[in-house]
Amino acid sequence: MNDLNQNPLPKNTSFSEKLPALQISIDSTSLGAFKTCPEYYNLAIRLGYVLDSIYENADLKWGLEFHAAMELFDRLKSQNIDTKTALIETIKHTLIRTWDKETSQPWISENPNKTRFTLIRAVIWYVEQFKNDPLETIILANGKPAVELSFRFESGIYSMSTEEQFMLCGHIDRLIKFHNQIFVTDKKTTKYQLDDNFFDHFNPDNQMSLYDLAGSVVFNQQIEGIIIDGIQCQVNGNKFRRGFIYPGINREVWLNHLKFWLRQLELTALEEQQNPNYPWPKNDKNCIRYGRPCEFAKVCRENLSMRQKILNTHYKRRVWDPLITREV
Amino acid sequence: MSEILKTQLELSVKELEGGKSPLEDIDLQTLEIWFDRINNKLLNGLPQAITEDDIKPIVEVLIHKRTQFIMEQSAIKPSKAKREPKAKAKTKSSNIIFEALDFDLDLDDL
Repeated sequence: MNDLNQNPLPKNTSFSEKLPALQISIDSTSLGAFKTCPEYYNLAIRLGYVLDSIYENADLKWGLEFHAAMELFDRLKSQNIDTKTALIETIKHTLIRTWDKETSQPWISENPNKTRFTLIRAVIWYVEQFKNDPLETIILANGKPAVELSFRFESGIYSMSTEEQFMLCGHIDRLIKFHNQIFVTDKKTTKYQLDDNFFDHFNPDNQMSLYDLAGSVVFNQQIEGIIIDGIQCQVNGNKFRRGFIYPGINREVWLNHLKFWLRQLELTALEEQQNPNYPWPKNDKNCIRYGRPCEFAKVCRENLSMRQKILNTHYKRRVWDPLITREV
Repeated sequence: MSEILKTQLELSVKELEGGKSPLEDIDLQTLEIWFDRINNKLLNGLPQAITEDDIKPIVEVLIHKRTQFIMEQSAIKPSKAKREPKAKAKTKSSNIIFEALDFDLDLDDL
């Protein structure tokens, strides 16, 4: 098997110094990947492989830009800038961000639902939809608005082998007050209908449970629940629907079960140390998800001798380090 | 930018500024002209030259397009409502599976 470090990547600070295969600082993406399939986690998070095409993934790019735009808008609004001015500034910023300086052209997407135009339209329509929004962004003790908050806190769960404490980390969209209750908000896009099934997908949900816990622990606030703004993206328009979920009802149960998952993670990391570069256990009930094969299915199908060759040929590497703070 | 397009752009902006714009007549092609105006500034490495006047027409037209979209959607709703119960009654459980499989969760972790 080829040496995985032939092109060394920047150091991933979320992993243990003592047991390098063990991630100590965990975000919902990492934990969700491990819960989905240990080998998926191994390839996508620990080793950082992504399909070449994912770099051009229109859904991903669109989602990132939409979040960046709304973060800027929320920040401007919390500075008492009027909606119209904040929106114009946000659109200007988004148009600049989606201009590709290298190719001297606007971002070109192959997905007609997720283009530069539908992005600009969605931002404007979203703001218009919620222009009389009763949700009020919380202002933190340091005077800053509680928007796109990076969090990191001790889980109270320790590694058996290294005795390090696992940290939980990530980024929360916004903390708001609604009818004197505090909620975490998030935005989710889909091309499908915003019916009850859409919101059911987020409760129970790994990411939402972690957000709920983080809101309670890090920001020392009694979190009532999560507000999800669903955004349906289609070529001819966007639809919006707001939903409320309450994962906090099972907060303690979720935290208790987290011990199970972190033990499994550690056991697998110890196995990696014993037998480097051997595939991690596969959850072969998840090789097809949401009607699509897993992005690593072609790796898992091949015999061991071909594994590294396929990874080198069809995938790129990047570092998934949840301790790196986002910037807009 | 061609002279014809330029004139069309100037006329449209003027109509908007005058508050009597027939927004219904502004199609996506016209919108593209405004996008082009911004793109030209970016192409020339002048993002700072993008002004409120460049953005404002895009915002106003798209807000208007939203109103049109909502009206269109409410106009086609009744016929949809007629069809839906039939389909649901027939294959309720398989509909749920179908929706779960097709659900787009690519942005799960953003």
